Amino acid sequence: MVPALSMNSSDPIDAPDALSNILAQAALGEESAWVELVELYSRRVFAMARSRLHDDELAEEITQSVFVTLASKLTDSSYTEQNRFEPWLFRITMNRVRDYCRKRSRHARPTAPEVFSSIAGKADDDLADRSETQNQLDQMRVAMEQLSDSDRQLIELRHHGQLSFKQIAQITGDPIGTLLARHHRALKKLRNCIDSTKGSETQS
Amino acid sequence: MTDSPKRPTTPLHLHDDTEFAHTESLLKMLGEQDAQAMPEGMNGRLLEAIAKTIAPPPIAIEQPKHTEYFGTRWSMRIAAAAVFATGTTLIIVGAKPWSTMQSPDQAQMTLASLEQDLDAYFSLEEVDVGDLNEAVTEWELWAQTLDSELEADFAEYSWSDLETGLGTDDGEL
Repeated sequence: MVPALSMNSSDPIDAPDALSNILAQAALGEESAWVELVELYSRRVFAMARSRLHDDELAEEITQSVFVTLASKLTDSSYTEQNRFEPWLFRITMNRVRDYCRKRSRHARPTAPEVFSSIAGKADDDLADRSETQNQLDQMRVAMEQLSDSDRQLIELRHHGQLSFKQIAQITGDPIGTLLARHHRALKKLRNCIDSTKGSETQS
Repeated sequence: MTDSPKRPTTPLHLHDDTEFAHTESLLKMLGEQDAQAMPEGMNGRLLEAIAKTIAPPPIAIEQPKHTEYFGTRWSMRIAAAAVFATGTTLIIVGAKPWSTMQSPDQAQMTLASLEQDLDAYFSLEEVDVGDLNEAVTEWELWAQTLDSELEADFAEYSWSDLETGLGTDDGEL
């Protein structure tokens, strides 16, 4: 049986032994272990996919694909990433999202300008009704689109996936120092982008 | 906020960096907003998909192969029947047996002509036995001649002689 976890669901699990135990039970097909895994990670995987795709259904589809891969890898004993479960899980998520974005771009579906305008348009239209925080979040979403793919991925792994820099380094293979510097630059870009948006709104 | 770097790196003191605190809090809220947008019942659907993946494969029953075998065998039979039917048709068409067949009218005509032939044959036989007829005729002529000679011979006798049995010759004898 899987030991009952006292932690809040969807919070990153801190005890490696507890996670190893859950994974071992899940590999044996224990239903309660799968319930634990889904509750722990589905929100974070979904959030990461939704941040990039801006579509709830697609994000659920990606999440389901990730968990099905997880299930097949765990049960056929091809999971070899000992003590690196979260980096492995989010690497799968990242690859799924990237594959989907490539497929979408290959089918010549223009995204970026429309996404910008739609999000910005929403922010403009409903400006009066929205709270200041929501307005800032919308501006942040627009600013995220301005980042390079690697910077955006870093931000999403950090803030949507809730991974540590050490775990992100395990995924990308970059040194932690490099990741910290890139993260710092990305935050600066985001802040500058939001500030410029605020400035243009104030002028208008 | 982040992993604490063991070696101080002045530009990377992010955990103490209040410069981006607001930006980071916005990013955290953005992440939570995306997570909260998770559709209702998604975890249940995920568990269903996982259950399908980890479910043991169904017991391999030989029936599919069996069905396939029967299917193949029936296909072979149907193909053989089709080939046989086609071949037979071609042979029949090639042989054209209807060209030598007679219709009932033709058969009747043939029978009638056969009867005519027989009549003709027998009539010819009659013609051919003309000798017999001539013989008969000769025989009849001979019979008539004989009859007339006999009448002439009996004319010399009277009826009484004939009744008594006495004739002139008898008395002379």
